[in-house]
Amino acid sequence: MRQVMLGNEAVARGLLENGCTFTYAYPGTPSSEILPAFLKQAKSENIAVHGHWSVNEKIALESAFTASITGMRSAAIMKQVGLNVAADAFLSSAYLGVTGGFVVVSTDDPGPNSSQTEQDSRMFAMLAKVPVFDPATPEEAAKFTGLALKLSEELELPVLLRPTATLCHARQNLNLNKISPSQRKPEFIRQPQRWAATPKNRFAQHQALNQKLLKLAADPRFDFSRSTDPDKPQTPYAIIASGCAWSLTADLLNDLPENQAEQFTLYKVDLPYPLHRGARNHLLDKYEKIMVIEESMPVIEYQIGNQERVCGRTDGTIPDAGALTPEIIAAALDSFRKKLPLKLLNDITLPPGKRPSLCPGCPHRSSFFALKKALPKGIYAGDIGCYTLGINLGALDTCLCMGASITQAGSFYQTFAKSGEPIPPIAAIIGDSTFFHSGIPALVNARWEGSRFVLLLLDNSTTAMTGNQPTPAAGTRADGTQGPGLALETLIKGCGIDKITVVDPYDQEKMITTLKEAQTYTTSAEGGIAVVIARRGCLMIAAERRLLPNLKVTIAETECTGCGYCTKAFECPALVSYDADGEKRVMIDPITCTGCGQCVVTCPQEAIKLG
Amino acid sequence: MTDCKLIIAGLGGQGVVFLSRLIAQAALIAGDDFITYESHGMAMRGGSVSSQVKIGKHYSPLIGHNTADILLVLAPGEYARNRHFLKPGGTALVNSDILLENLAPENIVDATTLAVNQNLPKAVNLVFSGWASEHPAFPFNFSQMQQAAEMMAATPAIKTANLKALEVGRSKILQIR
Repeated sequence: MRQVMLGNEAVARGLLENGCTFTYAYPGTPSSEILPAFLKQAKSENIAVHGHWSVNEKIALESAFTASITGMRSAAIMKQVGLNVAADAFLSSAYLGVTGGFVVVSTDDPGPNSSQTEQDSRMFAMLAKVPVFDPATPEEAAKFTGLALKLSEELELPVLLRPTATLCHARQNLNLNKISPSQRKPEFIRQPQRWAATPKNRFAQHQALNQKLLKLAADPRFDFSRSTDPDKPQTPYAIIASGCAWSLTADLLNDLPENQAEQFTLYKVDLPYPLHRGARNHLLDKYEKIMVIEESMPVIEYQIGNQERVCGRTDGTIPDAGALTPEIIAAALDSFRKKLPLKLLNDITLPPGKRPSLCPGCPHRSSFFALKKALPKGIYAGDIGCYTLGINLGALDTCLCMGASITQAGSFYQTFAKSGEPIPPIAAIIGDSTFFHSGIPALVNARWEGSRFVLLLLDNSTTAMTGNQPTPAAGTRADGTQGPGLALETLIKGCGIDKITVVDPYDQEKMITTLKEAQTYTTSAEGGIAVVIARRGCLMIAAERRLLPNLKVTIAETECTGCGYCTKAFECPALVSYDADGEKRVMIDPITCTGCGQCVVTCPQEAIKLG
Repeated sequence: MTDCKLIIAGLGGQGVVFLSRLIAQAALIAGDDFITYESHGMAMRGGSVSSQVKIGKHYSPLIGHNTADILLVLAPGEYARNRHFLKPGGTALVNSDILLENLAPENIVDATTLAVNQNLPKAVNLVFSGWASEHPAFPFNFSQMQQAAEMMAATPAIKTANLKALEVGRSKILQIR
């Protein structure tokens, strides 16, 4: 049967077609669609599975690993920076090994387009000594997911699958295989010397792991020297590529004039680590010069380890940062053929695009506006989510990684306080999902250390940026069943915070007074950390849109001076600048306006009116 | 076998991704292979976005400069940002309420006004594609687009609205002819 699928849906299909019954994930672009697709496809085919949005990636990986050591096939799914969060569990699991097939899916974001780094998960696999598959198309993503589960079981090792964003969000018509329910029953065989190995046993496990990798590097199934037409005559140039870098190169070679294309032989690596040794040696014997095209780091190139004969990311034939494009590969092919340094054609200057912005009516915008009013000279320690866009509003100064806002706010306080310097107002800004992910230990730590700051918790009751996945607060689970909810207030109180206020961010006046009070509390003798929970649901959720006040907002053209304060300081997409007979004015776009009425207070001329 | 490379550009929230899926669905109906690429994540919050659709036997969804056969643009400002993808002799079709530099007026439609006038403000993308599908360079015909829009509608009400929007776009071009 042929069906249209997103790369991520194909990964989910690969899991189901190969008897994977336990899947854990934390959302993050470009991985977020895999778990919902896994649950949806299982449901439509009446297959019993368990899939869950874990609170963070470390917990997802630990959960899936544990299912695997009872013999069940399992998967942990995350984006590349999530693998950093899960690193401890990931590296340790390679030593312990597994029993049921265990695949870790870590999706990469070359560019980066929606991440803080463009790291290569294949490099992480090398660090962890875990085999890694690099699929090139959605069809291959489904196939390699199955191969990864089977190889994992065969070697009793975790196996990584590394799709890149181009593949995750590629859509293709592909062949599906049948999903058949797993007949397995979980069984935990007590082997404390294995599952709770002490350092002495860990050394033995490390040696065993090395043996498995050596065996795999000699496995004929992964001999990539046979990945091309055996009858093709010897060509002057050889290219080795994997994943989406391979598919880009293959398409480009197909489009080249025949007299140019026939000079290249393209080899495809399915398993970039451990690299097949025989294939490596064979190609080094066969070709004078080899170019490696891979995304984003020189994983294959380092393993070939011959800098005289092999070029690519290490010598600048391919740029060492950014996503690969057809233009870059075309230029690289050219420089490789002509033995000249890479010359990228940068003759195109594009007009600036429209930057992403918070949605019209987004409650975060109101919170940021109030924050700037209440703590005008503050340091705003930000975090990861939609609200990172607070940077557009001048209401976000830092963004390091998930959960860092609270730690950074605390550390700003300590740095000024312990240096005996005046302490500026400090605010940590974090969303509800990020708070659950890694904000809680940070808050416990900051209180323990005696830090003082305002914690503005933007509670829109969802993980908005990645497509509105539920959080533990409401208790709704990935499969739609209802679990126990957990009130943020209770949780924060349990962290030892006494000053907690819940405000509707649409009540701008109350937001400002509450934030000012919170700031005063941080400087009072008995004070400490003051938490302000700005609570209003995300408007991407239909039920929340129904709670909008539906106000009619207009701008009096005669009163608007075109100062642009509203469009800069509030930046609502529904506030549109236009030219009125040579004078700049702002109007409300009736299509995008949600009728929240929040912009009314922003106009210094009071030209934005209700009704 | 059709072989065609399309870029679809616009702003997050305009339905760029939906339009690329609609065209992919039409390819499926026509029995063609295809691979597409969609923008997700941070870019979706109202910023510049584009989708790429390659019909025919291709491995990668990415389209190089000067190689696209068709450029479909939902926001006028995005035309200049994506024009370089178009191959010499390729076709650009743009939703715009103003004339654009380097573009013939017959390649421009004000689908936004058409959609708003018909009380379909959320279906600008469908009105636009109804109009575009009548262009000789477009890889699929109107009836294939209709079938695709029917198949992609989740409810009967959406189906009716989708088909109406496509028809509004097509009637615009038929009027001119």
